[in-house]
Amino acid sequence: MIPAQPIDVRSLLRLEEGLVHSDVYRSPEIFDLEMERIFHDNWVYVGHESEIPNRGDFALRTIGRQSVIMNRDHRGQVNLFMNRCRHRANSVCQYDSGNAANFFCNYHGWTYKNSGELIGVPYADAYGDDFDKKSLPLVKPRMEMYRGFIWGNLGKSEGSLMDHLGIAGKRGIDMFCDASPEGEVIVRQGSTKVKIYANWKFQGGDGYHPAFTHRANFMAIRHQRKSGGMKNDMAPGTMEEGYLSRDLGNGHSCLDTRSAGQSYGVRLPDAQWARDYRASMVKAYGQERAEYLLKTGGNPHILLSPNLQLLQPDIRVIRPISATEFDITFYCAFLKGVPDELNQARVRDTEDRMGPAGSINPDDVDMFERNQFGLQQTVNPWKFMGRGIEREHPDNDEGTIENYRLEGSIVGHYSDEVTQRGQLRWWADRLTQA
Amino acid sequence: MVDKAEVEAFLFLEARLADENRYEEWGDLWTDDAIYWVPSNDYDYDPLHHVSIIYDDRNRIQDRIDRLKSGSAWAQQPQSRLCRVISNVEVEVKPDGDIEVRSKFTLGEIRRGRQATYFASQLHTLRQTNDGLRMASKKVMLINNDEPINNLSFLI
Repeated sequence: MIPAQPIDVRSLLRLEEGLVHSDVYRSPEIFDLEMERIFHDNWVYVGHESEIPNRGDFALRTIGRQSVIMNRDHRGQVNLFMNRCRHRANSVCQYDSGNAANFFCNYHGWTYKNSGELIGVPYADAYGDDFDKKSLPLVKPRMEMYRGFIWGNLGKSEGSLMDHLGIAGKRGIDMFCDASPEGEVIVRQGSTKVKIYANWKFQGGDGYHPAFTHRANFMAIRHQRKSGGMKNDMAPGTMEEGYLSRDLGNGHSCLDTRSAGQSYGVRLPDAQWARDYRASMVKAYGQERAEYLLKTGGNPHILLSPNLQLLQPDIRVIRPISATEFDITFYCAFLKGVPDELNQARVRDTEDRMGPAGSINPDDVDMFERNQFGLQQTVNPWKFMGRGIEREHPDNDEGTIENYRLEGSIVGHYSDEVTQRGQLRWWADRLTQA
Repeated sequence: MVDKAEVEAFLFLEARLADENRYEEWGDLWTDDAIYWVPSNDYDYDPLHHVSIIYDDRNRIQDRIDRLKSGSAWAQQPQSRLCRVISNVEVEVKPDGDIEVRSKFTLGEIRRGRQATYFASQLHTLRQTNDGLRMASKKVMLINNDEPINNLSFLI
């Protein structure tokens, strides 16, 4: 539904006072505009190249409300196709993943090669002599890939993937991949999928909540230690100690504890395989860079708008369904060329925290749903997201080695709402641009 | 020989303790070497190299119980009200004496005004101990394990 009056998006944000109107998170008209301006006309993360290693492999994905096929064709090339027959628009792929030489429309028998060409049209003589199958391949939206991360863009707006990621977004991906001495991640270890009855913009990236939302994890600390699970020192230190939040521009953000040496990923034990891994990292990257990657766990803790999060060892993908419903898929990324013990620990780490029965995610889900419930109240529809607004300031991350420097950030304390304000500033720009 | 009625009585007891959120008593039903597995995406794979919804050893089962008992596991504040019906029980005694039990359940959950229904096959490995039957493993194969699922923060 397009409303008779255009929505005044700017009137819903009073960010200089830290105020955000509830309609940002609950209005169906706003959601329609987000689909049009963000998900259907901008770079959106689709999947990782390693998910489709062999010729013919495909995975079915969603960009906004639209189904796309990500595949590797018979020549080995990676493609994105709109999942739609050129004849009457039926979907041509029905499976979440698999291997296919052709995509076949079961309605009237039109057949496409896995490289997109239309190769079969039953009773084609009815279309006349000038009918050219070559003019009707599966439609390809724009696609770009960086270090195996495949992004699609259904719109016509100017700008490359690199323009969207920016230098900081690119370096976040670099840091995530460089935890492998070969610089590659492998994403085919399955996933858990979570349904959340709340607005998709509640993505986390919130450094204020852990000690409170995840209080039960402090209580369980004795057994966590015994079973070698994650450490639970979630209460942040000071900005001087390196507990930071960053607005990276273009809606990207980072909860940055890299210089504090605090990473939430897998910790290396005193074991031969861990020493082997360290040695291979030094060999691959040199002493200084390897030490940085090992200290930080190669964990950028970065949120790339609109739908990708890299929190070692998870790759999290957001899918909006409506103003009040979204889902998240949690993948575990394996590191190429590391001891099997490390990758096994990454599986257990992802699953211990995330997914529908993890120790962290369900309490986040409950907070998101309580948040959505509260937003229905209209007496005073403004929420207050002004934490740290006085102390946030531009920062070029000069203390970090150049390879992973998050230049051009706005920085605040870990617990400040810098990340949310950054997301909303970009969001408002996207929704209001001509 | 194992008495099928005894095996069924154990499954019903386990289901009742889970339904009534009696975490510690439910925890007492496991052996020390237990594996509690709720696969994701598929019903069978190598769980050391694939993410699961749950893949707990006995320590992690205890973590789960301690979290739920802490009073701060907000996704179970308030708790879910649960009712599961166990059926299609098939019992097989293995050469090593372990008892393999296949069954199915339907589970209704209601929490804070929202109702959900789950369907699953399950595979228990039971062992006869001095305290009676105990679970050496339990695998729950939800038919929707490749779909987005809202919180499974109760005992599944």
